[in-house]
Amino acid sequence: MTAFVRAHRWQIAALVVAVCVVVAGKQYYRAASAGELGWILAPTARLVSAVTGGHFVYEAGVGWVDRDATFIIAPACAGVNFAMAAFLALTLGGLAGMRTGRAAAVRLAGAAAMAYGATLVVNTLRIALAIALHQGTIDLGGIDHGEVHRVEGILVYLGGLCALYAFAGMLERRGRHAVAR
Amino acid sequence: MQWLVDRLCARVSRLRWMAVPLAVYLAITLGLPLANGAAVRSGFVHHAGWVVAGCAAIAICILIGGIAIDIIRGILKLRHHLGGPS
Repeated sequence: MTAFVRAHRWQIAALVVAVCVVVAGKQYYRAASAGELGWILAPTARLVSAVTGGHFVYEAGVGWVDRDATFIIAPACAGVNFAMAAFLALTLGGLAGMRTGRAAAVRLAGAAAMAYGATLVVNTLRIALAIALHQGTIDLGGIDHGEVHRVEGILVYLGGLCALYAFAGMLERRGRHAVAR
Repeated sequence: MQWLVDRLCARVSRLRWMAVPLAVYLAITLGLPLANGAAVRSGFVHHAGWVVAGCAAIAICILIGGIAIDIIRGILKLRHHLGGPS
């Protein structure tokens, strides 16, 4: 057991760090205001404005609001759950390469950066679709809008997470082939 | 038909990579809320049902997409062997 822990200490440490980040992140996200989530809501609102042609402006205590679209990007729309899932999945996927402290730190930082970037992209897509559903651009007929919003969120986030993980795996394999040559 | 069954089995086994993102997604969306006592809240079971259904739907879509890619590759390979346009 001790030999196993010693041989895999950096991987175990990285896993512990990732789990702590997720647990702490979840606690932080629960009570965070729109202002405190500006680091992710602000760029998301700008991307959504660019993609949908809308104009989201910050309103303290509420979030990012587009009055013409009658849509609010509130703290619940920040995508922090997706970011944490992405970070954890990328960390798990990169564990095999975390054989030294430096490699573990570099891979954790890379996972965090990729998770943040992917969250902006996936969350922008999610919100753009939600706006289209809200405005009736996508016709739902008589289906409950709340349920559609829930299902849309699940499919976009899970599909985005799988795509991100597959993409990271492809980068990892290409990196290994480049090193082997 | 046997070819399709073989491709299906091969594709299903190649879906193993999805275990990590699916497990992480379920842990974040269901596991953590359960640990925080969400099970007692009304609507959680309903939400959990949709989450599990979503996971199954994504897995099936990726499986079907992979099989479609295999079929297209098989057709292109056959055309190439039969001397069709490259």
